[in-house]
Amino acid sequence: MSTSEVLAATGVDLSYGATHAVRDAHIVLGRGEVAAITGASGSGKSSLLYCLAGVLPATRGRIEFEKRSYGDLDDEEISTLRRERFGFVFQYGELLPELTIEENTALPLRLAGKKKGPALAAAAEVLDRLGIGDLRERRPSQVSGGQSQRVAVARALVHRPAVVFADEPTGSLDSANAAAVLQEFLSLARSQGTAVLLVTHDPAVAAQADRNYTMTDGTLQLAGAAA
Amino acid sequence: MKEFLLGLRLLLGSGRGTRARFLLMTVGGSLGVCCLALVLTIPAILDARDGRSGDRSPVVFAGKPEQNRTLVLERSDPHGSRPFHRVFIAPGSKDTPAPPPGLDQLPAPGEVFVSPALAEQLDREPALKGLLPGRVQGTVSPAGLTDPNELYAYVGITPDKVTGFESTRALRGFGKDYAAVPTVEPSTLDILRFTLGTLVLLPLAVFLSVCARLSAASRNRRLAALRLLGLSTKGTQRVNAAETVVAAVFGALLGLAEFWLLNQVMANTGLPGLKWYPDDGALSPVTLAICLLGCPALAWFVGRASARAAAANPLGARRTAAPRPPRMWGGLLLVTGLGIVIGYCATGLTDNPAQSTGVNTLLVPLGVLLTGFGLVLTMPLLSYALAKRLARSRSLTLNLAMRRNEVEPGSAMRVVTGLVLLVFSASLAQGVLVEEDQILRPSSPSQEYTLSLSGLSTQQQHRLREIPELRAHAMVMEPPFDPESEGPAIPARALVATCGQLEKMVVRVEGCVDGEVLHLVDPDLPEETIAGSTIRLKQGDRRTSIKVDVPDRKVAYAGHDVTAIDAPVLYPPSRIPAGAVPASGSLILASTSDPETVRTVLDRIGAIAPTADVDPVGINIDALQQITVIETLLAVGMIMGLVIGAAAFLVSATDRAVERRPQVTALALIGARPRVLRLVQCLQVVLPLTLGLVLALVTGKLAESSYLVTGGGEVFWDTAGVPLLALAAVSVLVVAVLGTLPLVGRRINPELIRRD
Repeated sequence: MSTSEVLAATGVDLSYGATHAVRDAHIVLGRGEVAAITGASGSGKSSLLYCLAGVLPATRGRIEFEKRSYGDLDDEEISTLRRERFGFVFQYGELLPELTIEENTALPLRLAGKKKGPALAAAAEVLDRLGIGDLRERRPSQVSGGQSQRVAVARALVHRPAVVFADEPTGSLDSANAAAVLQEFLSLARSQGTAVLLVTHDPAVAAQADRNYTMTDGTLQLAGAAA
Repeated sequence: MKEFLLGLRLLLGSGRGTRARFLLMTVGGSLGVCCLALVLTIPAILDARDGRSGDRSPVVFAGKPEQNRTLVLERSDPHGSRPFHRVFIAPGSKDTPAPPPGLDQLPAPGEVFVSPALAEQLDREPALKGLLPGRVQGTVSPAGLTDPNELYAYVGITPDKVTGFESTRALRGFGKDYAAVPTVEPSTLDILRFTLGTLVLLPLAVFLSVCARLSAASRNRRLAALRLLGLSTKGTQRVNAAETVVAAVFGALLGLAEFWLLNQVMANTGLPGLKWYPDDGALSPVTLAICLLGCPALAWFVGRASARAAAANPLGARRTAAPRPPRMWGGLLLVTGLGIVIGYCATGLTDNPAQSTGVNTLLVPLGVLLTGFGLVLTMPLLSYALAKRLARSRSLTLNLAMRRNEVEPGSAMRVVTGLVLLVFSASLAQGVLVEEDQILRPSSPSQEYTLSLSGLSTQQQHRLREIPELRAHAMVMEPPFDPESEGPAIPARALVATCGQLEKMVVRVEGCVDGEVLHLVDPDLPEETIAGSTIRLKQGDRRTSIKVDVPDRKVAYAGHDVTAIDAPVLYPPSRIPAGAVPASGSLILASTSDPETVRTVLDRIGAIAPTADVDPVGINIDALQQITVIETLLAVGMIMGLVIGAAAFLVSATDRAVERRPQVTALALIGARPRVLRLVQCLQVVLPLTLGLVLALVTGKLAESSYLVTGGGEVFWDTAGVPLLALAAVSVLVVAVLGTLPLVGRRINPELIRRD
């Protein structure tokens, strides 16, 4: 692993009983780099993503984050990684409907122990950068799908993580909204030096990545770096 | 009909989640129907007992018995704490009546027919046969008994053995429209029904509402999709109703089967003070109709009503749609109910407390019901206000928990309402017990029991004095009856007791000196002219006597309201010759008057001297039996309420947790610790529950006091019951906390995050 690499996986297998979801996967993610995994539904790309995020334990192989192998970390340490060094964007945002947009965005900072005032201020700053600062006091049910997904992006980036794992981040949006949200997402991530691992079945989304992988029946292949 | 079939099709072809919900609804509904059947059947059980008691009651000719007619003499005594009935029948030659229910023929002289329970008792205590002169010829069948535990006997006897007794009458036949001693007094039965109804039916209504709203969010989305596909509003409602109706039908059938099984088991094991035959608890056509037709009909309306929002506004059923704050009108019921209740409580502070007459007989239960319903409907409002306030907290855990309750106050309250209502109803149950206690139990703190010495051996007397629950004992020595004596002076009886024993049996004693014979006077009573007497004693086979004079030196005492101490001389036990006992007189035993102690003492007396003639001064044993039955029924109601409340809590809390799994998984993925998630889950339930329990305690106690004030008893404010109720509330809280903790697991399952 070179010094700029934050995440590296070698020879990763993941099985659910007799089903091999991931076979011998190798992947490297540099600091501030955007990588995309594309593939058909059920090809195992989401399984690999959650495996790399430390949520699903690999059946075989080695995954390292900043030169520390997941095998050497206990559950509490992996949870701390997720809380402080990783961010997540889900297909449907999964915002908490009862919290305001501002509170949803500040959640990772609050979970990491930051006080309410500074956490809300940081959230407001990210929301402003994404152009939705005026929605701060609203609830998720009071904003559109695109706005909701921007909030999810803000939540993933507010604590300046090293890596954001994004599972079909624009899958629930129309193409115009999807392109806008993705551009804002990747632009903000790159400006922060945050690496992004995207899982998508949309080639247009994958085209925005620095490095592309394809997944077929659990097998990952490097498709080549983007221009 | 096609929408109904579509609903069934969706149900049959649904996934695991829907099937699990259907199963929960069915099992929950069955539990409710079982409790409902039990509540509806309890009066029938009591009616059946009382009906048989009336059917076997002797109907007699008025006046002095004519010659040659069949004579009847009834005797009812306590055997331990159980009533023991004997019916002596002397068959005559004129107009011989038909035998009573349970017997094929009237007992001939020398024949005894006993209940099965009495037959068993006779095997255990052969000395009891002394009370049943004759040979046991058979048993009384269930048609002639109130319950399988009853001690009852028909004794055939010759006419000369019963003539001369004041209560002997000529027998016309058997069968009255009413029971001489009902299992529960009719006026008490109404109150009992009301309390049982509150204890069981209110939590049941909450439980059914919980069942009908299981997986409400995902179900609403499905219904909204159907509506958007073109199904009419009514059609959409019918699709939803199909599922609830089918669940209700299965639940009703299962519930009736559960009740049948419960009846068989409980009829065999019995409850304290209440046993019945399985046939008494058989389901009546009305109960069957209510359960089999009423429940599905109710489910139809509930199913339709719960789909109204999704059918009327399908776009509003989006996954993230925020429900509106609760409406204010629920509070009106509570305010009205509390207004009535507090009004009656206020009259308790005046010299003229309201009485349970006229319009008050309706207003008091109305006030209690409005308070109960108001409590249910107001809690979402209060929970909302509390959540809104606490959500601004700096604590992330409190913030997360309260924001959820702020958005869904109704959902949070559905989880806890059953348990809150249980505490409210428990206050009412305490009120009924306090009221019954005042009516049926003497107000004196002391309970005396007198036993004639003539039927007791020296050893029995000794063992009776050693009963651990007794606080004191004494003996009254009677002078022999002398028909030759003339004049107004009454021969002196003597109370044999030390000063210490006397002090424990009366309210106050002044001037007592141990070892001296004293003139015993109650200053509040007019003094009688008492003459000295000679009292005979037995000392083994020897006969002796002592002279009892009325001394000048007096000891003043004030007895309890009802007392057997009625002797003008206090005689020290040390002056009785060793080993001597009075030939005539009575043994007086005293204990505290709480029903449990009285029952225990009576049972111990029964075990030591089964054939002794015991007079529990100032109480009748049937009343004691009634208190036991009432306590038992209220306990059954409380247990049912607890089962329903706890089931509603668990089902609702689990459903809420299942509905929240995607959000909780997302939270866990972004790093929330399991203990934070557990604490959030716990606070969401515990804070509104605490609020509800405090409110239930206060409103429950006010409702109880309004009942006690109008009940006409001396106790208006049952402060003694508060610690028990508070303890119950704290226990409920602890159970709720423990119940919520397992709802968040350590493992994260990313599959729970929704993806296309």
